[in-house]
Amino acid sequence: MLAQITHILPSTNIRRVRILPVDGKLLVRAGQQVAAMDVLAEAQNEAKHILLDVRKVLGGGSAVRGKELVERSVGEIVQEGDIIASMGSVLRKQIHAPQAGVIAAVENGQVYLRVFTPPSQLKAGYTGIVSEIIPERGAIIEINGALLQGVWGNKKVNGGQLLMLADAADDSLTLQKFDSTPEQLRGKVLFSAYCEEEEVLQAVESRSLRGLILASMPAKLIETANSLAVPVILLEGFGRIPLNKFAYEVLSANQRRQITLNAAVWDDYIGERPEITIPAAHEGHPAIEMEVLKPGQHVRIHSAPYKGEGGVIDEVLPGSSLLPSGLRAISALVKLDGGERVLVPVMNLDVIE
Amino acid sequence: MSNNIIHAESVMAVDFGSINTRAHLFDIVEGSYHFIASGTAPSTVGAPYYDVSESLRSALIALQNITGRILLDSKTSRLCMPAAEDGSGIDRLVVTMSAGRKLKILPFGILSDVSLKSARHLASSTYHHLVDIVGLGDNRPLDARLDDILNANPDIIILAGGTERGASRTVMKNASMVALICRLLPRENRPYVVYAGNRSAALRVKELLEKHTSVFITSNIRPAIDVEDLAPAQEVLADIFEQYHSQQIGGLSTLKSLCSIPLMPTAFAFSRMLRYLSHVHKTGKGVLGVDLGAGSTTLVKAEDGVVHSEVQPFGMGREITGLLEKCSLESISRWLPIEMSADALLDQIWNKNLFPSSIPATPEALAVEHAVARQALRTAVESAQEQHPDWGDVFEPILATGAVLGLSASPLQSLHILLDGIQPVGITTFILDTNAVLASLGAAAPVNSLLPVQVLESGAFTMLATVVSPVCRERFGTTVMQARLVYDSGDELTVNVKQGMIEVLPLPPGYKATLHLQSEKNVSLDGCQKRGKLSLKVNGAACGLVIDARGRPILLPQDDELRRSRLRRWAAAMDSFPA
Repeated sequence: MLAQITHILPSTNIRRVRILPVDGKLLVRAGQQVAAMDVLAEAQNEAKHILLDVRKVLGGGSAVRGKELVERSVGEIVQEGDIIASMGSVLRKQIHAPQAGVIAAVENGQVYLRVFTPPSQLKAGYTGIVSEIIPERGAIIEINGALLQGVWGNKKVNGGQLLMLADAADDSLTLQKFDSTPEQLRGKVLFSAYCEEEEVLQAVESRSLRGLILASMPAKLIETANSLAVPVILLEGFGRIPLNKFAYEVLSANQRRQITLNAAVWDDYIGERPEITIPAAHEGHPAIEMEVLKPGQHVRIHSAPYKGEGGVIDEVLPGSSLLPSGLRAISALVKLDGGERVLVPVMNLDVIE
Repeated sequence: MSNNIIHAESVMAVDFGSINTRAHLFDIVEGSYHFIASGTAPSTVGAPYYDVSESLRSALIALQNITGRILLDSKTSRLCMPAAEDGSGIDRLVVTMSAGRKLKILPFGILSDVSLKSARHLASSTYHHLVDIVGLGDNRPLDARLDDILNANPDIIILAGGTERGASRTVMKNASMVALICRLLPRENRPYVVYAGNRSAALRVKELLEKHTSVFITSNIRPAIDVEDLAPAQEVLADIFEQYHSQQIGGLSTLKSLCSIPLMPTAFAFSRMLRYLSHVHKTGKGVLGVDLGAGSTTLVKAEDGVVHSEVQPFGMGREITGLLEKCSLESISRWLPIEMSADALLDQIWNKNLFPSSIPATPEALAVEHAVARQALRTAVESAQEQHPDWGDVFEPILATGAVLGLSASPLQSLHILLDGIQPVGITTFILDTNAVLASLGAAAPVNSLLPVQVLESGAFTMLATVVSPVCRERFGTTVMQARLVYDSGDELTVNVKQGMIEVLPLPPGYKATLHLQSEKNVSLDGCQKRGKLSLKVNGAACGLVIDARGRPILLPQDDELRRSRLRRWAAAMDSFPA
């Protein structure tokens, strides 16, 4: 049976594809070192047009007449104030470009001016080396270092020095903790296990932090987390779920190191997940992407009644097993970290690899 | 169509879902087609495989293990086709799919309650996201409208408008706007255009648009003001779905060469079967099909060959949070028979979004899943009733499928979810497609018209129950009718049916009885007010005979404890409470 894998690796080598949704302009080259916030490429993604109704204003309602009066051609770049169309000789009537842009179309005596909008930028999202260029679209970045895959992100990117504000895997982040820490918070990426206060999330921005890593938070805070300009990544899920020991060990070992957060939305179809990387100089082994479920694998249980617990697969049972819910499912016997042996549906397991 | 239909025997139908891939085997047993078995494997449409081949291989291995029949070549791991003398392999392959991204669709029509409404109905019949709607009543300035459409970046524009003797100038004006949209987009981002309007404009529309993008011309979806004909356009959408996903998803192009017919969207194949069943079950009520899937919730009502399909963009897997965009959290929590805070419920729903293939292992987790299932069905039904005024609440029969229903702990649990979600009125037979083969039969029909007919008769489905749902305005607890079940053996069972209650009368499969209903109150059955007597013959089923006198709509008490107590009482009556 194929395993669901979550990577929590102290040292690995990974390659990540970063691409624009449309063709654009590349700003990096192969072999270039990049940081998370570096712009790899940019493109005019957002369409914004202004309709200049030559037909109505100058053409007396005639599309043919309107077209005759247009003095620009499709594709032509114009500056603010440039004449787009005009008529008359002595008492000249003119239509000027209200903003700089490109003549996108001339239709039925009407001119569509595509105005310049700030380009949408593709940030690197990772600190690494550009290993390959994808022409007009983006690049592949190769990263060596620690990798922690999360389960939820707010679609932002950033990086900074890691600061752990959690003494235990289920510690709660409060405003009081914020205020009482002697550390300078500005520019840091904060880790804590749990946060349930909206004010705390809002404080992440007001205290100029560069990101927040949590094991879990209540789902009611999703909207607030999404509104932040800095990345927020959950490693376990929603509700109160303690951090798995593997992630805690990796983060603890890298306290005060520079880390990057790519808080992408988990999308299986394009293979994106929220990810935390901690760059290292030495080259790691490539992460294993495909595995069959088997005894001896370290797992995390992501559903009740053992949600958040970690353990090792003792045995993958044949056939379907009866669960306390009354349902039947292919299950495994998992020896929890505490020593207890429990029955868990295999679909409720993540292999930590 | 192949001339070898008469000689083709075994058929493999594969369904690629967002969570699972299923391979169903159908073959001749004792002279007629039967469903033999299914093999299931987790989907590999997404990361890290991005290729359906791996999940198909795993599903076929599972099927081999169940049946003992060799389906894969041991050396090449390829599907053995055609079937060999020794019984290995299969003759025909058909594929359905609901996995993959939903199509971003933009209906572009004229009048909101004519062409635009039909264009929306057409979009709703497949796996879609409605990204915008453009019609005559659009108040946006032209440039703002253009920008909204460009930024929405639709995959498909459904261009509709003009009855057969109606508008063509406005149609051409709209087509010009679509041409402009296409010109302003990079070639690889241009939408498919389905023209489903006034036929007299079809050629001009094609000439205008085909130099910019792929154009599909189909029959007018609104040939007259009061006539809607979606079927030909639905075939076109199915073609586009196949083309689009074959380019996006690895392994499909290779598989196509083995298939007897093009890949079909599961919802399309499902509605095909419902259309056929509507010709078989001529009860005047219409057949209802329900597919409560991971990525979508599909309802299909079919009557005398006329089909209304509604595919909602929420389901029981990753799209579970889509339901929260259509209804409140409270409307889900009201179905919970246990105490749970709103925050805890929201956490569980969002965790299901993160881990869509997870299985409820505790009674509490199952109660949440079932509450979501009920409200997903309820929301889908209410939306269908709003979109189709003649949808109604009287159906016969109701066929249901979906993992939550098919793999539940007991048939009574499945039936209870369906009753709470659909809330039909009158006398209804519920049938459960436990093996999720209904869509596959719809896909197989074009290559083997005998197969679906014979499999339907072969016991592949579970007859859940005959349900009598009287509607009465009496006070809670008032006796509204007496039900006397007279078994063919001569035994009798009599119950006094009280308003607000559910009664389950034992009538196992294979048994027959006559149900006599007597009421002194005004009771509505099948939309008719009846007082006095009604008798009907009933066949046995997995859940027996059920009388659901809870009223329509089911009104749940506002008081939390009273509501939970009532839900538990109903669950006890149905023996459907999670273990």
